Amino acid sequence: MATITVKNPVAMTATVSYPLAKRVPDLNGVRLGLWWNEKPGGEVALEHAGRLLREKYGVSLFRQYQNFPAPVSAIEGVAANADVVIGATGD
Amino acid sequence: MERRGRPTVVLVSSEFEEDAHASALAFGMRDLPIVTVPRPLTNLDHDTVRRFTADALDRLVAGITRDPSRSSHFTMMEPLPDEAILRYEGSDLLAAAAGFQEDFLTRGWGDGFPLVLPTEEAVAEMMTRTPHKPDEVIAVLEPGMGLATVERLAVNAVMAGCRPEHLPVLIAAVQAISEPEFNLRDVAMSTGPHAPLIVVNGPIVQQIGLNSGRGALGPGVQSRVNTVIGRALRLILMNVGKCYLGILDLDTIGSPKKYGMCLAENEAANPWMPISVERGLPEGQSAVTMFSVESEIEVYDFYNCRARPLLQTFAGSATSSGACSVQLSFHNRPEMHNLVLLAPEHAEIFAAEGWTKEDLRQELFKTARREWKWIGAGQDHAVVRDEWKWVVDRPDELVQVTREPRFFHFVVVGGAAGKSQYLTGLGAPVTKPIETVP
Repeated sequence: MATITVKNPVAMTATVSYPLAKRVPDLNGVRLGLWWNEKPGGEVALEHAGRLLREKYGVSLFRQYQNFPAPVSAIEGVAANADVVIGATGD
Repeated sequence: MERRGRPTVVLVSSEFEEDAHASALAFGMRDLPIVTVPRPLTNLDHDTVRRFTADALDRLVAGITRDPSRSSHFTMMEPLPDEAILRYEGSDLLAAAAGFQEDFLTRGWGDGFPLVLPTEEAVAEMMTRTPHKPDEVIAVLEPGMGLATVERLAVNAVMAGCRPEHLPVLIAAVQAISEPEFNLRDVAMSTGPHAPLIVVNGPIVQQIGLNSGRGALGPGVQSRVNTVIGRALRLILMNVGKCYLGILDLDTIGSPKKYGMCLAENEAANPWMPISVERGLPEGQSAVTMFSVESEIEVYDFYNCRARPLLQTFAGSATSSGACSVQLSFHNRPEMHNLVLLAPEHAEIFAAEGWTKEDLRQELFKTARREWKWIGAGQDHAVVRDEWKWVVDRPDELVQVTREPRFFHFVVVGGAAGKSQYLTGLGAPVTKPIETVP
């Protein structure tokens, strides 16, 4: 019987774990952010989701169309104008 | 958005579900709610998109109103303990080695070709030509945020078939692609066939036997060093950057260039300064310049002996409008740079008429134009940059294929006979010095 030992090629990760935001249990009247990364189809999905949620819950809509990497100003803009966010990538 | 206190839910297609969860894990949000639809929304009629969205609405609402459940575990994203040594047994050494091959390739830790055994002795030997210590972190490598220690780079270099004198090139390459302007996350995770290209300058080219002449991009014995260095970078992207196919690499078709690309600039045939000097390093300093490559288009011109008509042929290749870097030139996106691999004769023709690289850049920018209808088919005002919105309703307007002349770069490489290559790209090039022990 023969044995070979080799080194692990896979790196440890540097990921820090962030807690998720507290959920909003009631969507009535909230400000809904729609973030689209500009891949075709994503904006159609977001607009439809926004329309359906406006009809059902009276949410107001804030749109952010911004591809990666998003500038901090875009992120801060959504944070300032939305209580909850739906993102769509199109794929 | 979550880190700013805004509950967020992401809508993705089922094809990208694993990528979405792996990305969430890599970027620190393991349990981010992810809602799937049956297929990508690209190239899909709007009625079906709306139907998919309506079907997903309750799950979208749940994602932002209810605490999410714990996400699934992804084996390839969670490595063995850092000090893990892997053991393989067999009736003899060959059988044990076969067991290693099968296990590594099955786990997805290789590129499909046989791997060289990364024994402790081989890895230790690999690190003898770099001044960096084994546990030094060269970079946190996107997209998976892997800690690129010198030792981990060395393990993958051994697997690729590298020799110790090759590791300093790889270390500089990893440093370069980790700079933000290279846009590694986009390059690595894209649905397109983007791959890094290593361009090497300086004394190290001769010292380690890199090929700058015929067949510099391989295959062939003349490019054996080019081949293993390029291959090692791909293994590093996978095992350190976690850029595994279907996990964080969502390339739809793939490309042979993703196995690895490395070349040396043909400094003997280059009538201008080396690209590393052009980009700020001193003459005589060994260096890498990293480019990302999306597509490669031949520039076939055996006919022209004058600069301007020759330039026209290059412009024709540059107007290949299907390329991502052309299609997205006028979007709100980071810079997308393109690279011309100049055949020596072509470089000689331009230089003989006094053209500098800057002349080439400016003339190519002015000449490589295509009607908007080829570039912007299907694009609307929403995605086009503000200063270019005027062109959306003008299909026959001639526009340039990239936003600025400085997005063109030139490297002289290859053998005789007038065939150059035009490479479209996704990010910006980055140059780093190569550090070796004396």
